[in-house]
Amino acid sequence: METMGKLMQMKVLISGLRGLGVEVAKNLILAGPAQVILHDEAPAELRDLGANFYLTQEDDPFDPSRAEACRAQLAELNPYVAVELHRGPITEQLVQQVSLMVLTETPQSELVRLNKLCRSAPNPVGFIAADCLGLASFVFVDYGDAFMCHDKDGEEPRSAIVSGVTLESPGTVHTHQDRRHGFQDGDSVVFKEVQGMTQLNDGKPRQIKVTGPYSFTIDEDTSKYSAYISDGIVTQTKVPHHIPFFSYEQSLAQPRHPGEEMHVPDMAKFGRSEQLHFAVQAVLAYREKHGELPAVRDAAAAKECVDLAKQINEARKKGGNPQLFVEELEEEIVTKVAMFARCMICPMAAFLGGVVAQEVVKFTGKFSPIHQFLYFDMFELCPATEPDWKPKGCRYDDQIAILGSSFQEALANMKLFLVGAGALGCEFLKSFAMMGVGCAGKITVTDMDRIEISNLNRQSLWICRSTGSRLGYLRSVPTLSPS
Amino acid sequence: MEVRVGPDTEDTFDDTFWDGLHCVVNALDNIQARLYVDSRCVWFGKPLLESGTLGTKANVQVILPKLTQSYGDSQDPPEESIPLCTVKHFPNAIEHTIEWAREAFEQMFVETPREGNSFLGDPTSYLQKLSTTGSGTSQLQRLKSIKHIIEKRTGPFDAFVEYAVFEFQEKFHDSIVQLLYTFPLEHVTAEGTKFWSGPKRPPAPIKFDANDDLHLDFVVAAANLYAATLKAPENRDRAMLKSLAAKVKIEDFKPKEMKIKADDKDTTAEGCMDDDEAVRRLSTEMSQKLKTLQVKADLQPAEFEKDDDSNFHIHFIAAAANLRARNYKIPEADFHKVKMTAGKIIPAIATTTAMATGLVSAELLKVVNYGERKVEDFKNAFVTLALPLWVFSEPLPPVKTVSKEHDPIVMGPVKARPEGFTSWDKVECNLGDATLQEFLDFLTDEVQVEVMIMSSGNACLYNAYVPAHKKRLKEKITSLWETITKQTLSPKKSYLTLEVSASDLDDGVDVVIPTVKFQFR
Repeated sequence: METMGKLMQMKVLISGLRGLGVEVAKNLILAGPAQVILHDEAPAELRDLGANFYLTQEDDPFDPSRAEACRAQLAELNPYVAVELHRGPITEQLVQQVSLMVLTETPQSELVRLNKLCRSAPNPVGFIAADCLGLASFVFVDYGDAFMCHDKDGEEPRSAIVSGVTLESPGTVHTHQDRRHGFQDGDSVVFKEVQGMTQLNDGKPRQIKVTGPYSFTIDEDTSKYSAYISDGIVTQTKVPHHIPFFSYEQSLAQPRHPGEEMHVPDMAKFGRSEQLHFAVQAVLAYREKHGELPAVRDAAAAKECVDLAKQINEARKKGGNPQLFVEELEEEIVTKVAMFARCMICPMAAFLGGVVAQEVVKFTGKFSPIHQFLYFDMFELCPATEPDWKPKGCRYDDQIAILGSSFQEALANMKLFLVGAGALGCEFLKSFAMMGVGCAGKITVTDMDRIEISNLNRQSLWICRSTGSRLGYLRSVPTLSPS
Repeated sequence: MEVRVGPDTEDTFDDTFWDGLHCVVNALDNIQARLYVDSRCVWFGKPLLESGTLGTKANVQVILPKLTQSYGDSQDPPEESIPLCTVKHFPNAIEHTIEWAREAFEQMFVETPREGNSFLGDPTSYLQKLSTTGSGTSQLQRLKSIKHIIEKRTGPFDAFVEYAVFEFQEKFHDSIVQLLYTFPLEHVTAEGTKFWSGPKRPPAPIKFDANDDLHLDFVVAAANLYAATLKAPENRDRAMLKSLAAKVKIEDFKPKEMKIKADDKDTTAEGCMDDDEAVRRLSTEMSQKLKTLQVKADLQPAEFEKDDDSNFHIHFIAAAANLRARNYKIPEADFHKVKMTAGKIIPAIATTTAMATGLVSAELLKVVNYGERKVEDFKNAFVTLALPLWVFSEPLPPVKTVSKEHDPIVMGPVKARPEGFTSWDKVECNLGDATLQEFLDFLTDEVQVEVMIMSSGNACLYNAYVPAHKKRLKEKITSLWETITKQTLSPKKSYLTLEVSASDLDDGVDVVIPTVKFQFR
């Protein structure tokens, strides 16, 4: 509830409205901040239709910018959120007017400049940078030097019944064996109704170290306390704690905080995050040099990125600890990121869009933010041999660039059965429509439920307020993909 | 389509439909439907993308024919449920009293009217069944509730208020006094420890007071819910109900010699001996009375609806849960918390849904040409965005049935034929409309087994141990199926699924074989 209150006051700037930006905007608007400011001067292109679901064929010749083209429909998602446009570059003034900014499609130098402005603003402004580069992606989070987390995991506080407390330093607490206490190291707990050792009933939180499923120690000398007699309830309590963040510039060189490792989402891809760290920086460096990302499947551009990556890595090696470097750069990884850097495919945009929107909500202090990089790839999708990847001049070009036209055709010919049209079902349908699934084949959807009041806030395909048969509202889906 | 997928709709979602699919994607909210779709995908050999979200948690599972486990091959660990005794006698947390209140709602406003209808429809049969279910004490309670609802069905509303006050008295005063009579506050266990300590919080009875808001909340909700089961009009006039309630005459309660379980391991049979006799008397009295009464069985059981704040459902549960919490000195809960807990509402959020969609879509792209891919390419996912934590892993191979030296169920050796078969495998039989004997011969030739038992669904078609079944051997399996199930085979159906228990031809050891697809058309 408290989180909702804070969220309702947030003003969030979202820059870059290709698939990723619009997914973040959609998810965030459904959650309900005070204001979302859209920023994207670039005009929409046909291939943007592959992942930005608010752009339609009728926007040809795409005079309005991408931001303008989607503003109205994004605004419809939630009448309590003001959705506005910002034209021109992001100024210091704008930075100080928002609570947080999400930057996609943004050049490295801009990221550095804006991050500095966010950190130096009178009230620290939350900073998130994220990009989908074909089959690879990253999220970077910086909430400044004074960030406080109030609830690290959102779980209901657990309680246990005390069965004994020793007189020693540190004191050991035993809990009743009818149920494991379920506490973790570092948790804070409060006691009440303890008979005998009443000194514990002061309501003050105490940090614990778990010693067993029915025991833990408290950071306290209980040897002089009155002896424990009986009863007592011990409950987890959430204590606000400070989380330090490095700036974007510092994180490029030193992405890991002392004692922490980068996320390893897939143990089968151990070490991948470190490799991607350099691959992504190389691709962004390429854009600084040439003004645009490497072209699709451009071998020369990819080679240049490999060289850039090596240079960056060597520089870090020279700098030494605590800067991150890899013993050997995997050229294939850099190549794969460079080859498809310009491609925005639906699955990646949806995945990252969900992750980033959740990170925005974490700025309220609920849950634990990414600390501070997440790298993710779907390289298994990359075909083993080069497919027929040349663009067809259609909305699926980004997908075709990676997977090929024959594959796109096979996707179109699919006969798929989608069972259920609730929150997940609707999102799947939108996603399939945008990927071109079954448009020559068939998608059969079935569902038995009706729309209930409590599920309107997470199903963006229905904009109406009335309740009734869910499937009627899926009429909007065909407009996403007329083919 | 607005058709629920399940065994009843197999005419809509028929074989032609399933056979023609490339892939199935689940977007369901319950395990039962998931298991059904999974079983169809296994039978028809179709890839299935399964996923679910819960708050910031999400999971994605890829199911590929012959390559991976199916959804039904693994089970989630059971949810932490509240022990029976804790709910019934020894709560120590608000979750326990909320569960108790939810059950009280069911018993008072769902089961009682339902049983009332049952009794009114066929009193002799009902009373007969009653005498065989539960203890004398529980039978007495049920019978008393039915008697009361029948007698008071015409109202006026005063009678409903009186009922509510009596229920208050029974639940928050009398039963507590009874519990303390059986286990007094100073009671000491056989091991010499205080009975009322640790997880057993000592309760205190509450006397009804119409001036107390929480007491009145309970009465207003209970009276109106009672009226609803009798299709009588509601009354929301709190002041009026308060004065009616204050006038109800409450009798003094005398505790009895009652047996109560001290915990779930206690094997004591709960109840009071006197109650067995009381039930018999009451049964006789009621069946005699009914002969003169003309009462229709049209009581209206409630249907729990958490979202409608005007229906008193959550109001009743909140009042009851909090009153019981007061009995046990447990901190009370507000309306919202009761609604979320009793309604088992887990808030869903757009971010998790979007993220899961991305992952499922990526897997779908791999499914397009899964025949050309390695299993390692596919990713099952477990994500908790709150922490944040992402765990991707390769789907597990299907569970194999292997020959064993000693199988605990059969208490002996068991062979699997073919060795290591999985749920994706089947024995295909294309004999046409064959007789049972012809089918048995087929299995003898193909799989080298002697059939001992053969069934289709719940119907046993053949049991070699039963001499009378010998005459079934010359019958066609299709007509045998129709005779035993007393159903007609739909003209759309072209095969039967048969489960066979067999033994090895040579050494007589039990043999398990895959499900048989008996293609008769």
